[in-house]
Amino acid sequence: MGLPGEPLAPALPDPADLEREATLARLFELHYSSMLRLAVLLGADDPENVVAEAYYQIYRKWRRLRDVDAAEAYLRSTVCNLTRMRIRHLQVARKHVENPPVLPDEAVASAESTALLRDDQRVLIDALQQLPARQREALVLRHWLGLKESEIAAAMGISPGSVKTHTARGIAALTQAMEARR
Amino acid sequence: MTHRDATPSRGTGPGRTERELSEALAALADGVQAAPTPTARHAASGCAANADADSSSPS
Repeated sequence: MGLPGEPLAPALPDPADLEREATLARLFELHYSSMLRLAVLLGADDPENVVAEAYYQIYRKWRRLRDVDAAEAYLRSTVCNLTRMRIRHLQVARKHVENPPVLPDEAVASAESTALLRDDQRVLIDALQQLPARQREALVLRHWLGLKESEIAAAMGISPGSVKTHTARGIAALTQAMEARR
Repeated sequence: MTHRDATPSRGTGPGRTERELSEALAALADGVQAAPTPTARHAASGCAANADADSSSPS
């Protein structure tokens, strides 16, 4: 114990906290880019915020995370949920304000990221953004990330059977949209 | 006897849509500037600081 007037020694950081910080930094380096791209493909108008919030949530729930290997799946699932909630929020807000916020499909269509798309690809992405959120999520997870049905089910918190239904309906709707254009 | 080609049609239908969707998503993803920026790092670390404050505050 220090004498009165002596400066207090700085508290030693908790090793568990140090390890958590280091692991989180590694997860950031490993997965930030793919999570940001996932948020964009799902139609988020503020993908950076979605991903930052996903990392915030994983930080808060660190002790409940069974192992670090599960972190990527947890982040992916969180990005899906947050994007869905954000889009729903914008849709509700749009109904109640005079100057509605830009909806995700419009945001994506105007983003620099679409500049490299061919016309037919832009039509397809626009049609994708018009789909119900669950169908869009299932298709992005399947056809961009290449996840298996069981992995998509885990990310979306639904059954594999529902994944099959959402992907089939989504592809049918996109096929119809593309056939109508041809 | 008529000959039927056993290979599925490449030109139409859901199979074609799936292939085109995969290509379009890949192209869109490639166009996203996704390198972690200093701002993103700052936001993540700010979140972590907030999380500590949240967890230390009484519920």
